[in-house]
Amino acid sequence: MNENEFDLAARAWLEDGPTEMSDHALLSALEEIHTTRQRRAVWPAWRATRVSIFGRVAIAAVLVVAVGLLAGNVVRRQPNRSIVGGSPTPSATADPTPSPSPSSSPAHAIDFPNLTTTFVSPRNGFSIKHPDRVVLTPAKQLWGFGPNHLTDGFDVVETGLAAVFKGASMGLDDGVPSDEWVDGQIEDYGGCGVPRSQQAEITIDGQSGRISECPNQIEATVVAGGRLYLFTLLHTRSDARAVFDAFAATIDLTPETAVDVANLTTTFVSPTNGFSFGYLDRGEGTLTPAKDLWDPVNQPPIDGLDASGAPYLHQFDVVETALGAVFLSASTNIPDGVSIDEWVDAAVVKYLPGGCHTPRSQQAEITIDGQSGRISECPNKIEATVVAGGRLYLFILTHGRTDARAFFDAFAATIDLRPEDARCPRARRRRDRP
Amino acid sequence: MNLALVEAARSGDEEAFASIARGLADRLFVVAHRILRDVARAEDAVQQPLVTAWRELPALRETERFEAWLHRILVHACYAEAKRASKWSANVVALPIDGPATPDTTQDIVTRDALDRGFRRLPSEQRAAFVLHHYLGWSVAEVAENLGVPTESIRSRLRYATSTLRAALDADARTTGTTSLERMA
Repeated sequence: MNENEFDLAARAWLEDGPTEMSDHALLSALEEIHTTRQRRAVWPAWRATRVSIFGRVAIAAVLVVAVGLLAGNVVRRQPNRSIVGGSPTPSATADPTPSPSPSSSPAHAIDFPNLTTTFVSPRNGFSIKHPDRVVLTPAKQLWGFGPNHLTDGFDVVETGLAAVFKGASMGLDDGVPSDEWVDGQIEDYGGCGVPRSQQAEITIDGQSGRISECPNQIEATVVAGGRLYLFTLLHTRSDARAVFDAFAATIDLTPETAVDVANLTTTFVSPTNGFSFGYLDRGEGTLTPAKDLWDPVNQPPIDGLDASGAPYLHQFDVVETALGAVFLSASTNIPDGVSIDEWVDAAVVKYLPGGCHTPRSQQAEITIDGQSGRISECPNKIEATVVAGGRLYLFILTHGRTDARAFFDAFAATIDLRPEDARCPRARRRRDRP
Repeated sequence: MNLALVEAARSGDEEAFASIARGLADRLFVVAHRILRDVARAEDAVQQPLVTAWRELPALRETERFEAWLHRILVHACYAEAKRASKWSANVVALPIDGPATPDTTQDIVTRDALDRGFRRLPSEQRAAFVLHHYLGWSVAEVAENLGVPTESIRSRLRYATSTLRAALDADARTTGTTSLERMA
């Protein structure tokens, strides 16, 4: 049988067979479609549920401890805290004017030190004045993230005067959130339980917000510059509202200075790709290690779909940040004798059909773990390549963020390249050989 | 392919997608059947890609590539279906003959039987490349692009598939058609 005869026979054989799908099979698919929601992006969901709810018991415990400390007027010095100013003795009298809001109690002189020293939040986009001598604990993490998510996102001012003032903020996707949404965000933090829509109004730095009061706690929320701010006063004082108003009157909202990049406190050592990097562990689903070795020449492109229809990312160590960004990383051996820029352009660009497609030689420089590499940025994506120990490393951030480069740089700063630890490819199977 | 329908479906119009699905289902089924050589598995393999395509459609950047994209999802579904099938049918010898009987000559039946047996020995990746190239008439470059696989890999898969099928035909020719006919009887 010659080639033409074979082609004819093969085509005839392929054409022979059923040509119509049964109605019930099609109907079954359409029914499933009817109950299936469309996804809005090719990447895994960026906006995961914020945090698990520890429950009111944990909140109550925190409150009890805080109030207990205050009741004893104890100021503890801890390594990560700083004492500011002189004596906290309530010798001076604060002038809480102007009152920032309609208050349930009339504005009056209170037995509280003057708020004379300014604290600028390193993460949350506000500043506030406080008495000279307080214990300050700046926020260490994004609000609502990390193993200590109930506390680490807050800037805390412990006055030693039966009052602890706390502030936090979070970036909003877009627009002004509904009161119900805000209620959902702050319910983990021991709020008073009054729906925001039913709370009294307060004005903080010219922005209209809401405030609620309950035993030992006052809580205010305000939206400004695309951020939700939460300010809380934990107390055992009868004049707590006046104290809160005094603090609130000094608040300067500066959403443009907020830092929404997570503190990457957990180290991941890739079992495949020969590097480690830091990330913020949100629990299950945060990190998916690579399953396969990366072979850009022979594997389907990154925007291909696997058998389940999910993006084909098996060669990547993937971090889903839940902050509008997914960090992907992989590495591969570089063939002998190739020009790096040309090989990357030919092999990697083909592998990344949705990539930035800037020739590597024209890309900006970046240094990762002391190695000079290249980086390119395009809408919703940042790609960096770096060579170390005969391997090409590829780091990608897919995102919907305006501060994506800072986000990428935060990851890049934690990368430790260990080419000697990369998994080696197995010998090719015999039947694959020509 | 009606791009307006694809755009509408991409924007969440379920009826538009249902219309697309009705229009393409048979074609997808034929491709799946030719790869899997089994009606029930082919129908299973078509259903999931339709659901996947609906779910992922908003992320498709180039709507004009919808059909190629859908075929890629279908082929991957066939890979998965073939993998599932291989777990329980490794020792099954009987080959179902799907579709209406046709008045083929004896030699046609022998040839088809040989091709069928040869084809079932192929890995699913080679089957898919063979069907897309020889049945849908896609060029090697089109198969490569639409499956997202290097051209050389597709060429290689086609070469192996062809040589396997030719070897099956040659083996039958050496043992005369009688054996095949007896086996089918």
